[in-house]
Amino acid sequence: MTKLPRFVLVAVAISLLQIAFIGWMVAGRAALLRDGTDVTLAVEPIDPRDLLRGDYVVLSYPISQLRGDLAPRGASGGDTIYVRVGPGENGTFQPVAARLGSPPEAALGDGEIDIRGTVRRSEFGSVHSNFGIERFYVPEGAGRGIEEDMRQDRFEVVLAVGKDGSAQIRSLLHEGRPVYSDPIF
Amino acid sequence: MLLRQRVVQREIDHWQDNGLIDRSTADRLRSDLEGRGGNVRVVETLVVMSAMLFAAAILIFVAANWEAIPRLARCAMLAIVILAANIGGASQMVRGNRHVAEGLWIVGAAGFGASIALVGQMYHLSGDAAGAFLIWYVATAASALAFSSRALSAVCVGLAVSWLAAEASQTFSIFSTYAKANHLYPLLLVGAYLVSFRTGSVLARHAALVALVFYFIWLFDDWGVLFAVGLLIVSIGLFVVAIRMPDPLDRIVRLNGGLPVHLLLYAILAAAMLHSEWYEGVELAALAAVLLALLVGVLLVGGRESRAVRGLVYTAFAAELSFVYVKMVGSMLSTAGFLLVAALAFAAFAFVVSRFERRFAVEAAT
Repeated sequence: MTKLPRFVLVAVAISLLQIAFIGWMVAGRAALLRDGTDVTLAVEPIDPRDLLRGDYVVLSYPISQLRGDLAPRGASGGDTIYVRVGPGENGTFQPVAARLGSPPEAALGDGEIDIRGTVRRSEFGSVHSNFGIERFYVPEGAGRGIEEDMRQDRFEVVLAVGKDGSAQIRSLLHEGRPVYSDPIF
Repeated sequence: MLLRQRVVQREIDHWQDNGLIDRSTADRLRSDLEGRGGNVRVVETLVVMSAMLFAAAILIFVAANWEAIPRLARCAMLAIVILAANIGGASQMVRGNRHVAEGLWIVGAAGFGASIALVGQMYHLSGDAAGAFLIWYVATAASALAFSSRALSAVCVGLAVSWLAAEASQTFSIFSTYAKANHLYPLLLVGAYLVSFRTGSVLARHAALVALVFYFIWLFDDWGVLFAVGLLIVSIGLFVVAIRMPDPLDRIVRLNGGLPVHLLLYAILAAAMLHSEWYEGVELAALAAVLLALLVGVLLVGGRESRAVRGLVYTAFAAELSFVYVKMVGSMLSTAGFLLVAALAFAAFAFVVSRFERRFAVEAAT
């Protein structure tokens, strides 16, 4: 009988470690939502499905593709990129500067903030990057409807951005109202 | 097991008919054979299959993102699944129900993977499906070690392959944009192989060796013909060693003598790679001649010991001949090339047949 408790204790320990890890992931994201600065970006759509996480809407932002003077030179896939955004017309933020490896040198202007991402590819002077905020997961079947609405209506995403530049989707806004919101801490 | 039992049954009949053993011995052997039972295996497989279905149900449930249950409640449900499955598995194991325990641990591992997916979904994390598989792999390997779980060590191999697939799909395609081979993959397979030493899962070891094929394909894409030539030479060389010294090698790799078949598969893969580069003219003829000669050599070295090796050699031989034939007809090459290769192939085949006949004759005489 002495063997039973020990083996079961191992099982408890393994399970708690796994659950603690999940908890740590949740806590990190929740902290970002709680403490992060809100940034609103305009979005453009599509609608595929992920095997484990289910249906989602693909989101693309003004910062996803930087052109002309904004695009940092010499970018290649895998580089870290910081894009500085500031409040623009009709309440959404617009990119104002970008730099590879570290945030732009100039001091942050009023309401400006840096978002950190990874360069996906760079071609013909435009730089395509990911910021970990390109997907919005929705209940099964709901994606198609949102995608259709996106063609005609105004959609925006509210982000929570941390001091280190990591970004987290807070909500997806359809004509200013949140789509499918369910408070998570 | 049932197939092996039938083979042994036939041998017993044969010995009894020839008077090598008497009736009572034969009956005792038969009853011993039946006593081993073949049904337990079927039950075990069914339990594990049911666990896999349950695991898939958990994963797809999370993917469905059903609004009726709040996300936090789903999170809590998964935590309960992890705890209950792992603890339940441990207590079943202590009671001696190994297959039930294995099934429950599979469900526990799925619960962890589903939790990672759920967190990604809750916070709309777009990146890194590959990273999720990596974490899942590490957690599952830890569970496999802690529980000495055979099933989980095999699941680790599956997760390594999933990681590779996710990594490749993130970077478009293995074969085009992302040509640089990722060396983490073989490390994951080696890790699963080492874990299987503790868990005692031969299946996991075989699976890991088969899964290594994807890495070879990647390396070939990266390094080209040089890699294929190297793979061919190394795997044939190791094949000869594995056939000549089965015992010391098998004590290291612990494959129940299955190593030569894997090495031969790698060699055949290398041959296919070479043919993807050299598929016409003199190159094709020369390569086909070398490969056919190699097949004959393999048959002479290892064909007698292993039925699987013989089967593979015949299949590869037929494939090689068909490839050459189709290529020759399709590209309307000069008849001379075709005749040369065909002549070489037939000569090689005749050589094999005569060697075997001589060997059989010698054996029959002694």
